[in-house]
Amino acid sequence: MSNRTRLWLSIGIPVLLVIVVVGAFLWQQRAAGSGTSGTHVVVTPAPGSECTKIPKTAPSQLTTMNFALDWTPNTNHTGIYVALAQNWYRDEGIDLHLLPYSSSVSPDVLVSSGKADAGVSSTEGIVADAALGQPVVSIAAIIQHNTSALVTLADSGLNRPRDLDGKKYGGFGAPYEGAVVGEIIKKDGGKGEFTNITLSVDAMQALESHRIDFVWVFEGWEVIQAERSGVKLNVFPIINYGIPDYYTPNIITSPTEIQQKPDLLRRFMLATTCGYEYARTHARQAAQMLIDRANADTPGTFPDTGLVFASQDFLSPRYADPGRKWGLQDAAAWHGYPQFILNSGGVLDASGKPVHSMNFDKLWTNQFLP
Amino acid sequence: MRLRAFASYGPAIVLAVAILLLWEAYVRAGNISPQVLPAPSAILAGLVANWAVIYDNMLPTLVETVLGLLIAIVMGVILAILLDLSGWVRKAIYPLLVTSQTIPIVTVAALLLLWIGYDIRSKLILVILYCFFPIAVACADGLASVEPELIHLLKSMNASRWQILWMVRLPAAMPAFFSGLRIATTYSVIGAVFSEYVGGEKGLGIYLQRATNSFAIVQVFAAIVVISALSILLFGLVSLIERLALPWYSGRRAGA
Repeated sequence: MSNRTRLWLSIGIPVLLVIVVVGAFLWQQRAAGSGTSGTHVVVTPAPGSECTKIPKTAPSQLTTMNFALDWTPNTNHTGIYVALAQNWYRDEGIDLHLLPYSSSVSPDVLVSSGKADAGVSSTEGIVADAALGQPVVSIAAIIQHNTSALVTLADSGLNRPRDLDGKKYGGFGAPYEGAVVGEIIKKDGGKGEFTNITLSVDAMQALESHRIDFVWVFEGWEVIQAERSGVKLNVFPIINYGIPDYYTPNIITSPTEIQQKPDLLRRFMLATTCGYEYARTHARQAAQMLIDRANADTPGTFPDTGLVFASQDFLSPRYADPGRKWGLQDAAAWHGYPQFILNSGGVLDASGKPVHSMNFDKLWTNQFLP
Repeated sequence: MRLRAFASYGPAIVLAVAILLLWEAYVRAGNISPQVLPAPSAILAGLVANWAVIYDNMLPTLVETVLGLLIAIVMGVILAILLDLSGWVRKAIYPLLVTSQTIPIVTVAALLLLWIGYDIRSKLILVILYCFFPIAVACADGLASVEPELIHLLKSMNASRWQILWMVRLPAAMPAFFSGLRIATTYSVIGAVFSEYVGGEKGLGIYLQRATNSFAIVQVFAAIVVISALSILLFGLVSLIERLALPWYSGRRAGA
């Protein structure tokens, strides 16, 4: 091989590689842009409901709105995906962008820094934000009652919370975890002493491989997945063991946003509410819209659609109690649990000192619900 | 000669096959739940069954990797030449360059998301951060290691600073440059995957995250296989180019 050929090959191969890769990428982008998304079910809102107020056609001017997700798409987000699939945001004059979940930037940070107009968080998160001086406000409760639970393997012999004394707990590193878990064990007659191991891996895997004895998970996702894969669990819902009921997840926005764009938030919450109201009564169709929409944005979002349907069947009746409107929050829930975690000493301010009181009523509002 | 070069991979292949067989046997014997560690055969089947979706997610990752690596090469080489220009520049920049590598990249990633957003730019920056340091340092060391006699010779022939750089120093720095590049290449795919994991729409990092959150462990492993294969392919390509560009050097290395 001559030196000249060698030189040309050494330059040509990388150039060719770049052309092929970028070309394939652009071609894929174009193909994705021109593709139409499967069958489209058009939903007519029930007569008499607020949802009939949504105009049938979109206004010519759309306001862009960024919405930060708290996790990869799941059945907590179904109502938002339904409203997206039905173009209800567009009809309300909103061009809604979903900001994907980030493991290093929480929706709370995105919302309080103005990078997102609204997002998904939890009561614990909102209380911690207020203590740190980056206030956010809950404008809806996505699920009316807490659906989290401590679980053990059925064959572990740990059949009630007081058996958990001295056992290994696989946690997620939140400061209030120890207080909540300890309280549950004490309420059941135990001492409330256990080893807390913070895991960054899937806690259910660690549980199934017997590396830890119990974890704190959501019934609507992890417990359903365990049932589907034939793992038998003992489930101790936390609100059955003396922990005050509270909302998780919540839809949040920032105080600045409330001051500057109340009308946008009202329109956003109308479309969102209609999405969740639809999902309450149409679990299967709503789950299908979540799957279709999320897979169109990111192929492979739901490797196991059966899990989504099963989870939706669990969650749809739990978005709100029968006869109650979706999203409403009560003062009682905003005083009980927040005070409980403040008392536990698990909430710290920016300088690391425990916070013992705050004005809880500044943390939530129902004013944007239709 | 070709055959012998190929045969030199023999032990690695035998070892890899042995590990895979042991792994398969271990899982099949029921020692571990397939939901924790799937067998290699199950991973392969999962890879084949989900290939279309994995391919869809592979392209964005590959674009970030290749473009990021390319920009890192250009930046790394320019920086190396700058460092070599004068002792002062070197003394000023080099410590900062090393310090920049001690910052945990997770924190930088979070800031990039807030400043720049979720598009390809923030991902390119992360890949560049991962890749340009080994290239710049290796290349700078290469430039500094030229035999002084050669430079004296060119100076005696009245060569300019740039002529010396172009005719003697850059060619002499090439072996070091390729060493740095090979290290950077192995980082590049992981860098791109990590940047997506931090937050993004599409890509192997996102696929990995979603498969994990849906408990689809087979697909998590399938994605890992693809990530490794891409890294190895890119590494092989760099080695091939090195062979083409520096036949004298790689010949000597193989003989040693």
